[in-house]
Amino acid sequence: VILVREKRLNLGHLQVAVGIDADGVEQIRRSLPYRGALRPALRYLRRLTASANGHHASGSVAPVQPDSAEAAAIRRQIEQLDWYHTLDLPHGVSTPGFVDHRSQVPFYGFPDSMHGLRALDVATWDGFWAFEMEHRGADVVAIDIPSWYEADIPRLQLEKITAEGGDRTTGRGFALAHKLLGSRVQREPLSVYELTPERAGTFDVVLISDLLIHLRDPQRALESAFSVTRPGGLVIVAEPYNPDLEAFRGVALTQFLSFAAVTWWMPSTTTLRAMMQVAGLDVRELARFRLKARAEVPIHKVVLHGRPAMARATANSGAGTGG
Amino acid sequence: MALVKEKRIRVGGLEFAITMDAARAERLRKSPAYARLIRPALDRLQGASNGHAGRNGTAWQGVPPRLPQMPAPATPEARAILDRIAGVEWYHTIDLPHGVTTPGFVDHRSQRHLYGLPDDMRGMRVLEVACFDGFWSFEFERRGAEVVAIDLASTAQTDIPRNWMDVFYSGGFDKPKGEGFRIAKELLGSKVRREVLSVHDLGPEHFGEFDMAFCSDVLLHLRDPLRAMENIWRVTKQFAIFADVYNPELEAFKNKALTEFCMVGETDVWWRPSSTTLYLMLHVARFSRVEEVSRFKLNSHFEGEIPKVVYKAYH
Repeated sequence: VILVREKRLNLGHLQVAVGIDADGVEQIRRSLPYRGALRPALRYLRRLTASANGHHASGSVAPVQPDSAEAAAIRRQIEQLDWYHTLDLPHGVSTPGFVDHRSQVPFYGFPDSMHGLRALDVATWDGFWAFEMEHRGADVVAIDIPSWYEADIPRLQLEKITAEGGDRTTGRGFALAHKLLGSRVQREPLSVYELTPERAGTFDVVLISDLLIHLRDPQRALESAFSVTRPGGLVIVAEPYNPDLEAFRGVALTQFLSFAAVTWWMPSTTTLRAMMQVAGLDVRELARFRLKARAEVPIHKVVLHGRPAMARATANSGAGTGG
Repeated sequence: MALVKEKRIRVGGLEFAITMDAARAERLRKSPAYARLIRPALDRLQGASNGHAGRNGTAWQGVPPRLPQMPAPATPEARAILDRIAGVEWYHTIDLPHGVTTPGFVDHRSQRHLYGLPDDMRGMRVLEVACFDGFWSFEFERRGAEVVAIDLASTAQTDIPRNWMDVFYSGGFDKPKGEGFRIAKELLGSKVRREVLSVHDLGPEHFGEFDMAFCSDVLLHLRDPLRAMENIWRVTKQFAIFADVYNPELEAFKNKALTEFCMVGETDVWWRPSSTTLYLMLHVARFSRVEEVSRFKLNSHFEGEIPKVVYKAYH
């Protein structure tokens, strides 16, 4: 059963969802009542909620067409690479990234000034967040797996990729942007699973963004982040969540997605909070929004701030019973 | 703690989902109107559309019988065995010589037939993962198999959240494992080989490959159950039996592999997955074919119900 659309309505104790398949959607779309009344009403509602939720219509991520010779030279260099992050480079050039965080930075709740703070960007990729924290004055370390062979993918797929061979080194985009921006961010080839105070030191701010869903053991990543966070420090977890599971408020549910589309898990926000608590963090929610990305499906994100708890995280939020 | 239930009804191109909290759903389900009118109508509407493999009959196959009382030791031999097994915290109920039985937390004896095991296992090389006191290993040996059983050396090696470790140690939860197995093995005159190895580290380089691998009531305690499945696949030649705990509250979601994260509060349970999740994970772990063998409630001293599903997964 492939559902194209699902609408959910809350009626007192009941929640009613109506799902429609592709043919149904087309028929309804063409019908007069839909075009005349329902669609304008839905659009109006969406506009109302969008401004409240901080949704952003995804705009063009194509780079600005620059004029100067310097800009042309930079463009030639960035054209050689696949970009994950949209980064603003000198001379008005931007990289054509898969995600564009630039307009959504305020949702993450960074301190305006990060002078004197030591910050860690976990799984930095092209380095957008590392450069952002540096821009705010922090002394930044960025870690990433040194090679795609070390990604957390099913053994079957990993063996296929390994058999194909080839250079799968990460960090080319980061290195180029680092050079062009004159950045002093220190990039270390390190998996989040191996992150310890001995390997990386400790930090005032640790950022995990769009990573946990790609890990088979997200809990271990959160435990690693906790282990390098200084007392009074901050762990920012900004992750996609599963809107279908948000109705289950008291229970920490997650959906196993089998890595068919590079995603292992799609958790509810309750699950993310529970996992952060188990890792030793007190949790506060900052924002929910839709990630601006060139994805085919909407990516719903939540930003959670975790502070190292004084005691261990057994005082639970009522999620799950165990046994 | 309001778990909600969801009912999906498909009519032509539309699918309706009605969601309500579990207690309300239970009351509704028990009402005569529902049983006489709504349920039959829904069944007719839904037809035979449930496509999930192995989902034939969700009725419980095993109703837990009363746990047996320990028989009074009639003979000096029985009394000697009772002295020998005293002081051990038994997880498995195991029949020992002279009519003595260990007072186990779980009693698999009346539910052995639900695991899809061959009656005759002569000539088979079998691996048991996380054997504890060894009930299943001794059972396979009795059926003729050559058995290797792996388990951890101590409870400190179990998957515990990292920042709970100091509490784990200071609370005296760190205990060596395997005493019950050693005593039972000796009393039964068993030849089962017990080796200290975590399923997270299991590979054919350790003890070779096996005709059958057996993994029961383990996955829920693992932070990365998929890696355990992958490792078991690597050492399995014919098939593996996975008999684990599932979350019945998630069974209404047939198209979604949902899992409850449980490691909140003081528990040793990481996950309570739906059977769909286990089924999907076994495929991701590379098992070529997965058959559902049975569903039942585990016969145990646990105060709640422990629903189990058994899968036979072919290499």
